[in-house]
Amino acid sequence: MWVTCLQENLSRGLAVVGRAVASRATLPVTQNVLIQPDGNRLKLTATNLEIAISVWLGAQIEAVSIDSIPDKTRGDLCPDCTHFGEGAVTIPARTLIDFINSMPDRKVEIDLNTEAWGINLQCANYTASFYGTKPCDFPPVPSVEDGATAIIPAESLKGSVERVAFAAAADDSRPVLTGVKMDLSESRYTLAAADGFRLAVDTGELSGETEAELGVIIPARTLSEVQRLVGDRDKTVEIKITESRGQALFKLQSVEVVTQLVQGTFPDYEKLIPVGHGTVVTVDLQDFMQATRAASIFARDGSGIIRLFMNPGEGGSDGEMKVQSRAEEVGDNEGVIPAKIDGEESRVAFNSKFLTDVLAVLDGDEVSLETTTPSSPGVVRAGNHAGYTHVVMPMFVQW
Amino acid sequence: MGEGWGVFCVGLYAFRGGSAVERTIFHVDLDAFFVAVERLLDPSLVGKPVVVGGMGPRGVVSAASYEVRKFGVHSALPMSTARRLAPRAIFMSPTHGVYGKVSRRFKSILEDFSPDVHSASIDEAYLDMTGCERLLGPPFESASAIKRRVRDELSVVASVGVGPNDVVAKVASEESKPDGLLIVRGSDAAEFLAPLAVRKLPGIGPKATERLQALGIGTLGELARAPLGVLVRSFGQRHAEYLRRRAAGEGSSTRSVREAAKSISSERTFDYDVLDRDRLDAVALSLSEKVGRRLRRAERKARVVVLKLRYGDFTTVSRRCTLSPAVDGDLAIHGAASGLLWEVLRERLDPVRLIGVAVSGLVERETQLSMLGDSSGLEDSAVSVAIDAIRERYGDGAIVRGRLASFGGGV
Repeated sequence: MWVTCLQENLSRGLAVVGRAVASRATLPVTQNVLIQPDGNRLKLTATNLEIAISVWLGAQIEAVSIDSIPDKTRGDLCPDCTHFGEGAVTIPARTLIDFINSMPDRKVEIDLNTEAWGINLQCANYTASFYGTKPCDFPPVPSVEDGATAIIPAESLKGSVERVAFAAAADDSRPVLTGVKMDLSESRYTLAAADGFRLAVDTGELSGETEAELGVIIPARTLSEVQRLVGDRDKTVEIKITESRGQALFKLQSVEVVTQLVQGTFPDYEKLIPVGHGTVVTVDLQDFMQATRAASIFARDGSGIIRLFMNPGEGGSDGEMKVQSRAEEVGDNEGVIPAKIDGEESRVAFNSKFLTDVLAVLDGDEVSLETTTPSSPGVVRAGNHAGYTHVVMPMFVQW
Repeated sequence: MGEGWGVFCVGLYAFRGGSAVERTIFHVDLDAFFVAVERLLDPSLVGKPVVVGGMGPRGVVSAASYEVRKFGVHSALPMSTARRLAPRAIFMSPTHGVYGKVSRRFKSILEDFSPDVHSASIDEAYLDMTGCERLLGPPFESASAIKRRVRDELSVVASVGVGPNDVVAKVASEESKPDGLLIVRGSDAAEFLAPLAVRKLPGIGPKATERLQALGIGTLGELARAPLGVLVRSFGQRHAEYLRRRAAGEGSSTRSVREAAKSISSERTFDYDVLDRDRLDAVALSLSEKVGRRLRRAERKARVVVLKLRYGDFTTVSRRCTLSPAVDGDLAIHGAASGLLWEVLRERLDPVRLIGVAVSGLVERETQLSMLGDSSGLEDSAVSVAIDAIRERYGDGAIVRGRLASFGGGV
């Protein structure tokens, strides 16, 4: 079977699935990419068993009748492979990706050589052969065709993931925290992530309503991949979740992502958001960001602590917030930024990374921070993101 | 313990009010401390040659009385060597528990003289006496007063070295022993150090001495004058600069004597090589407790835990791991050390001669609060602090972890 496509398309397609190729695999075939002709498109799939990404690219496909292949070379054909369709084969991903990326932007002609489970390829004045395996060696990608469905506007999902996913735990000590809780209800979706020290929650509107009334935990990495894959042509992202709540499918225009879901009980995040507050300080986002960045320089040599002092100002004068950090044997710094302060004079200390992380994902002019005592959680909200709440636990410090 | 101590003065220590502040650091060191305490417990030992140290086959000398020192016996010498050098001395093992009590009383006397006392070990401490002369008189008077009080209240003899920084002060007290008082003025520091052997400088051990000897450097004066390039090849840029500065009598004089420790470690050499993993792990726990206690006393937390093993054939392996967040609880330190221990033993399971636990990457004690009630670290920390308090008051044996009790305290 012959497939013809553009180097640029093939390269882009491989880059998409390449993110799912296993890096260090116990199952060697997961380091391969599955290549399948599908109608008049070419389908590429890669999986690391947690996440599977498939992409379809435009191609010209010419079937060569199987009867034209001499009998003696067809001995390898396997009955299990037939449902992958004719021409399907798996090829080591790293070699293929690197080679295609080094080709000129021309037509690539691929001979899907199912006799020997490999491909022969031609592009401009280059030829190459890749040895692969038969498709039925490739781990089956779970089918998520019938299940609960919701449709989220692509831009809205992208923003929510950006503002939430970073708060998920990076280490595996509590697996549920490595995921992002997604709750679907009528016309709204909510994403929440927490690593034990901070919590990010964002809600948004669905496109239409969903009959699904459910909550699942999606690996944070999957959501970040989906966010990256959403392209200009994607207006919406369709999400399907299996009956068993074991897997979920994210459907874009020409990309599908199937992911395992994290099993377990996610903390009740509603209860982690403080209800009352003592002091609310509102500052310019850029000011706060700059002061935090500057303070991080000293903080990184100390214990990563940034101390904030909120001073309401007296007799109608404007308030200010001091952003301080110090490192033993290095020095210290202080930034003072104008602030609207509603409430008492107060102070609180945060891990500089937590503060930089949340400020970096916000946009708009103003950001507000609600605090109560130096040892109670701080709440960050941004004027531009009405549905967003970020709770961050302070550091207990010797003032 | 002779009446009236030898007083040496190198130059005249004068304070010029108003000029740039020269720091005044005292190094107070108790003479043959363990021996002195043993003599308090058993006055019949007074005047006799006494060596205190480990009595096992690998024991080392903790302290030797001045009567034995003339035979070449000094601390850290293997006991077997000491026996050969001074066969007629009285050899005894340390009486645990008493030294700590005397040491605490010693430190509390020092605290009457300066608010800035840095305890360097059980029997020595640095005092920042800068600006104390108005209150306590010139250094000679306050140093004499310290010696007098230590002698009167503890019946132990202290030597005091005074210098513009901790290094000079320490060398001065060493030089003045026994029962000495030596004051070195800042402008005379270089001159004072110059004729001394490089080995006298704290931080220069046998290996560095050898390397310096290879470069033809035998005295601190030669070290201070040595071209930096020559030293850099043997010691690296930073260390070379540091050594040369120190040898010239310059020090971290702008910093307080409470200079933060970079790491805290504790080691244990076995009398007989040990292959029993459970016992090794139990020793690691007991070392972790020791390290943890010093870490908490220094009001720090550690981000790095290091495990050191020396096998019977003297091959030494050290392995480290980085923890986030930083820890200060005994169990957290032991947990990390234990993990490293298994790792090392999995690679090579052979009889072990020495095991050590160290923490480094020391940071402020500040704690990141958790929102999910994840308080295991806090609990470990709080339990460890409570144990510290009990031991401080009733002695080290007053409370023992169950793990270690099953070893009969004999880990």
